[in-house]
Amino acid sequence: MTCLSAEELAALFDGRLPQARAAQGRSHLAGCPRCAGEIQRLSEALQDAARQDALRPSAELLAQAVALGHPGVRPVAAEVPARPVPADTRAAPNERK
Amino acid sequence: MPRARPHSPHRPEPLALVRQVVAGNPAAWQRFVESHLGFLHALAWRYARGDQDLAEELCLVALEGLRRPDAEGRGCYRLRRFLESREQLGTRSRFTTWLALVAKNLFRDWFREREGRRHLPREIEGLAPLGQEVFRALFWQGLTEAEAWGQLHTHRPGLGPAEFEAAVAAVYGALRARDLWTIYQDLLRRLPAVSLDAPLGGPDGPHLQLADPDPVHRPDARLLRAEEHAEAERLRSLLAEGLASLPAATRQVVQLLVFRGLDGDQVRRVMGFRTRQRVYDEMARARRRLRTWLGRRGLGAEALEAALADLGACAEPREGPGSRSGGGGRLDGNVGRDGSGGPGSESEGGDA
Ligand SMILES: [Zn+2]
Repeated sequence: MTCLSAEELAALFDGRLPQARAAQGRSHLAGCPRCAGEIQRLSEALQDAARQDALRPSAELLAQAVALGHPGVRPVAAEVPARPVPADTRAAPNERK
Repeated sequence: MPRARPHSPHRPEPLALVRQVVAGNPAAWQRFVESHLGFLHALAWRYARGDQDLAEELCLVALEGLRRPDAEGRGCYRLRRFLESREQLGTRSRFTTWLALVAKNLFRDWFREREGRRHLPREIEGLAPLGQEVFRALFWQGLTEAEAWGQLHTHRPGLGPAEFEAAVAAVYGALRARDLWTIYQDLLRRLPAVSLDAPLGGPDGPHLQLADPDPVHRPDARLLRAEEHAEAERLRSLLAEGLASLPAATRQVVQLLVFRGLDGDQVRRVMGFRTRQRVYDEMARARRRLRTWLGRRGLGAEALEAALADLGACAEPREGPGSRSGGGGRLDGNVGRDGSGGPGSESEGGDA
């Protein structure tokens, strides 16, 4: 059996994968370090995130994140790997520039 | 401004919003960001190791990853795949579970790309490219061997397990004199790293995560002492054999609960058990059987007790970062307790 997709892994983790597929998934998990590792990391990420309740993203980050959705501001290329967004995207076009 | 929230199983599924985002609606994107930025930020925090700028950068990395179009230029292919898989294959996870998984992989890829520009140690430069990649994954990114396999496997479609194992062996071989002893010390201290499917363990604790400074150059790295190496190796293989002798479901509970660090409820869901008690029953059975198995093979009482205490300790809910390998808890004493999923972590004052 091939490895589980991200969608399948998440659903198996939540106990929300159709039964037959879940059984297959579990037996795959027992022998596949990749998928078992994915489940482990997911568990760790969620457990850690649940402890970070006191943190707040800054207003500046929120603005940058929202700006990603405005067409033409910062086209996201299909081929290029994700890069950090430098400060210059902070000012969207047609505003403060 | 969005509040960072703990992962809550009771929030409604924001599927309608995801559909609107996929359809390219900018207002929907704004609401999507407002609902999930806090969660992404909380996820990014551990990878950023307290670096606020890096955490914010990672949030944008993840959001860009979610917006990235496929080869045909259709936007948000990851979100699109989430919706399609849900409809066609019935993968009905919570959206946030999926988001956490995908974001973590995007963080990992970003680190991998960044670390690729660093200078390799001399021992490693002599290895084949695959060996160098394995080294980066294990020691620069702090991935488990299993994670490294996943990462390389994804990017090198023809790569087989045997070839990967050989590359890992080559890396450990190259590092033998300098660092292996440190690695085995980790392994002995944290028996959870001893697992059937990740034979060499490795630095995979939360605090050796991605951005770890090059552990090969840690000042405490010492020469490997042959007899201690041999003892670690013996313990490891005995445990592996003992685990292999367990019934499949029992073994899988041990793997998920102890080696993979899932909490009782998470294990219950993955295993499809109706009650969490069943998880702990399987665990108790594993302890009984392992005690017998290891005892019969002449493992010293002291080492055996340490191993079992660690098994118990790791089955206990983790209280905070780093408490994973702390004191000897008793598995049998914590049935019914569970720290995850609920709104349990109130104001702890962000430890920036
Ligand atoms: Zn797999």
